[in-house]
Amino acid sequence: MPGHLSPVSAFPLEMKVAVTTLAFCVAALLALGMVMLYSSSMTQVGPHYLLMQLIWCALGLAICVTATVMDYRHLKKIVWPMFIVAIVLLLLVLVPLPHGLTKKINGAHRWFILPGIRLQPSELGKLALIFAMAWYVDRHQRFMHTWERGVAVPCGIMALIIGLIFIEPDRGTTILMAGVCGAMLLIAGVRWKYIVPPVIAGMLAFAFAIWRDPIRMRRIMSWIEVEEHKNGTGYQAYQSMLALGSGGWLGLGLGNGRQKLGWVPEHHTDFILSIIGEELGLVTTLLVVVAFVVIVVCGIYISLRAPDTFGFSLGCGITFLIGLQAFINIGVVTSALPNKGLPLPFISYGGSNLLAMLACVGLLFSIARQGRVLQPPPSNPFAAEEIPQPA
Amino acid sequence: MIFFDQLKKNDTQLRMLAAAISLGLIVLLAGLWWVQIVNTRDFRSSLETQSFRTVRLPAVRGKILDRNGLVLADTRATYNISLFLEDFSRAFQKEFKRLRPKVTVTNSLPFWKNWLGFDAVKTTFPKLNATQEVALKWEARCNVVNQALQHLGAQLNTPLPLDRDRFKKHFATQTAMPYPVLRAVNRTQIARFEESASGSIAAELEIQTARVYPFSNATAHVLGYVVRKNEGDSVTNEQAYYSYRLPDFSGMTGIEKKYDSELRGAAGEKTVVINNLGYRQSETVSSPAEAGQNVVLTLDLRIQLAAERALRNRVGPNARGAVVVMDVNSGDVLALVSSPTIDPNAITRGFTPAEKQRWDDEELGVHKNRATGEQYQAGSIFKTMVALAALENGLKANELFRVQPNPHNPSRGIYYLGSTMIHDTAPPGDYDLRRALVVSCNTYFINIGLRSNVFERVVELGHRLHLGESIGHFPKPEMVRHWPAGEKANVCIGQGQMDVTPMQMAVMTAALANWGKVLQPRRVDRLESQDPTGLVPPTIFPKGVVRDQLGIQPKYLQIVRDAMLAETEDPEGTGHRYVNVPGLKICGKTGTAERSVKGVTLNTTWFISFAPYENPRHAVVVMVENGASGGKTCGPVAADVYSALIAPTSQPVNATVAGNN
Repeated sequence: MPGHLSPVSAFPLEMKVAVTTLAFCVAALLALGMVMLYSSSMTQVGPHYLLMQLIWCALGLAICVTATVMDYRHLKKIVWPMFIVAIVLLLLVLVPLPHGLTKKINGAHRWFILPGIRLQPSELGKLALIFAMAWYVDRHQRFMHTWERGVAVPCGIMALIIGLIFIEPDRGTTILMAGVCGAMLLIAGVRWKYIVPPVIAGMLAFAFAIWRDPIRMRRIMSWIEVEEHKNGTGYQAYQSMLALGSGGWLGLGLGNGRQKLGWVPEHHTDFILSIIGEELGLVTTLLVVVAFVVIVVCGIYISLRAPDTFGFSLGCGITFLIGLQAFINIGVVTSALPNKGLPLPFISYGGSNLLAMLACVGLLFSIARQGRVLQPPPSNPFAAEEIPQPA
Repeated sequence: MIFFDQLKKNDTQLRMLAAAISLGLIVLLAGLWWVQIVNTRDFRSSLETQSFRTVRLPAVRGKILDRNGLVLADTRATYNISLFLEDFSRAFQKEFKRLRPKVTVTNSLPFWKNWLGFDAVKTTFPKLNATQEVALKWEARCNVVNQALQHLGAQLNTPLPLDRDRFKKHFATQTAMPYPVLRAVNRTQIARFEESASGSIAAELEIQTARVYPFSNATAHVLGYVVRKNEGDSVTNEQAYYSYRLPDFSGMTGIEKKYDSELRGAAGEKTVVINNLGYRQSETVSSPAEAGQNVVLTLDLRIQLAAERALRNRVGPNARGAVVVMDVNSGDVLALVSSPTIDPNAITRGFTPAEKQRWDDEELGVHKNRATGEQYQAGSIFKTMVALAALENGLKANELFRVQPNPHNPSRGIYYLGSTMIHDTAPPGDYDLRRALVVSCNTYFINIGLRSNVFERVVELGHRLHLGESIGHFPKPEMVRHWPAGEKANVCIGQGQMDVTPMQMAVMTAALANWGKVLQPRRVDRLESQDPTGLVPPTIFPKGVVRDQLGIQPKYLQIVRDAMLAETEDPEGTGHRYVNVPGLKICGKTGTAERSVKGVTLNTTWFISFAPYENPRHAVVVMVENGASGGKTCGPVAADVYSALIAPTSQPVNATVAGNN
């Protein structure tokens, strides 16, 4: 494409492989998600969830295709309007709106309740924040090593969205977004000595917030001693382990799981991996993990070949978002991490998240389309002068 | 790959990030490995205890048959209508939401809120405390089930009231099991249910077995009865293993009790998968129940019915007595009647008030098995043994003994034992053994019984007859050595310190008839498997097991047998007028034991007999409580039984006595 920073003469083979692999993994996870959603919900609600998820998936694929076709650089223009919309929605979700448009569910203000569907503004917030960070890194890339522009200002931007998500409250998304933004800044060149203090401060603040909150504190305790709390706060984690554990190598067979009968709460959303483990066994759970690893590798591969810093930063942010969210979810299901309410990307039931995730994948494809051939700097400056000898 | 080349470069940030990602990956893989492979067995077993319930499936109880294969106790299907509770769980929740207390408030809103479309009417649900919530939930469940029952009742045309306590108990303890709402459904109701109700409501017809006794009262005591029991078998400790047990029949008395485990068979098991609320999700039968064995009795139903009818016709509908008919050669019990009875079908189905009253009547004692389970004074029938003992000890049969007249009643005899007078019902005069037995002369038998060593031999005979062993009383040889003569005299006429059952007397009579063999009474011929292939061989109980020999020479037995024949044939015999079966020579002995209970004299009247005299086949023992006399009360009953015994056997049995529909 003429006029671009590093024009690509042809779409390189390696990039093709990366994009195809990425698409394959996402499609496989989506398909697995559909099958498991039906398996886990058919005994109780019938095909309702599956139909809803199919509709959301269709919408998400449409968005994905749109994002792919579109040049991601157009995003730069709408970063700030989107940021403001996200903040407004995050504020609105906190106040009681007429007609029961917002409602406290399970002690949290996270959803807009529309007829038939529930929307989570925090999903939009996630994307808006990643876009804003990418825009900022692109704009101020030469000053990222300084304290003010490298740490203070980005932290301010982050605080706006993350703070609102925190008071919803949604601890899982808070940690997720803090991690993603931190990684983006780090890659953008912020110095260790600047990034460590705010991370420590953030962790202390978070720890303090948990310390003061008896509910979260109990959750942490139940994570440490699952067996003792298996009938109380640790119930979900324990039941999830029962499901995973009884699966063994090959699982009980599709549809044969018992834990989906209501034993594992949220078995079709956040804890769907436990049902996968129970019915399809370690082989499939490992494949899921591998699929996410491949997605992350492909995402970083694509990002590294982005034609500009915005694309690089955006690609990394998106990849971390998918990877970290999957990591936290799988960690929670296996009780390696304390309980958080985060869905498993592409698999868990939930429209807002599926839309956001597919939009992310679309953006990665868009970055890949604009990608350039990476020229590794020659380790031997004279190597280029060597004339290959014909055999 | 170029991606990894990037890491080789000196990009610290990227390296750290890559390290963090790898670490995270290792954590996940380790977590999955730990949960899914290392601990899989523990988790799997915890899961099974959590979501599986085992249900014990009772086996079909074996039949009880008579010697000719007629069914005396049968297991038949009855139908119950049960509700599936799991299908109501949504309705329960809905009803609970409807019942929840609501507060509707109409606020006056500031104008801007009106513009923004805020609703002035607000409905809130006040929080309930735990007890209120539990109570309300029960209320909701009861309402839903009650509605379902009304609906079902309307379709079946049967009112179905909800027993709240029973429902609550069922729900609390057996949520995974269907809730039975109507037991023993009749045919019309089944038709109505299948026609209209089965699809529209979460209910099903459940098959349950019921124990049926087609000959109700006639076989009541020998068969015994069963009750449905929920408790486990304490021997196998089943209770600990099963989550739920379907009720099983448990034999309480008679054959049903004695062969309970054989009749019961082996219970099967099914596994129910439940969800987290305890409702049933699916079920599989893991091991089917194994039907119990059939018990084939030695009983001949024709004789049994005849004996029962004889007792009823000759003595009365509430006659308190017993009849035992025994094959004198094999020990087979052909009839075992105890009266009065209560219909054993009524026990399984539940009593009517009249039946309950009859059951509770202590004097009637319908639950007493008078043939084998109650003990009585033997009275004069025991004189046969005293006679045998005396003969064996050298008594001459034709030796005469003079009975003194009673000074107060000259037509009756009296015996002076030291300073004690013993009244006799026989007239004074000269007696030889034969006459003494025929007239049943107390004085004579006390006299010969007190002769040296005779009483010891009487005790020895009782011992050989196994009297007082499992039931009843009989003095032991070492006990009687220092007994006063009075006690001995009492035993010589079958009273005092001895009690016997009609069954023991039947064994004694059979021993007289078969030249001294003390047989093991045989009530059960064989245990047969219900297996239709017939490959399992039946367990056959041996015939004619001899427990002991009386040890009396046949010539002495012949003397007593002749005397017993005279009892029914001699004009002077106590049974002469009453026991008269044309074409059959019956040897018999009457007896009347007097017993004073609270100043009232109660008679136990007896008639022991065997026939035919020439070649004895059957022993018939009749006992009636509080009868007039042995001959008058019991004799005709025995005569009727003998008539049945010699009647041609081709006559079919009238099986209309069945007490069920």
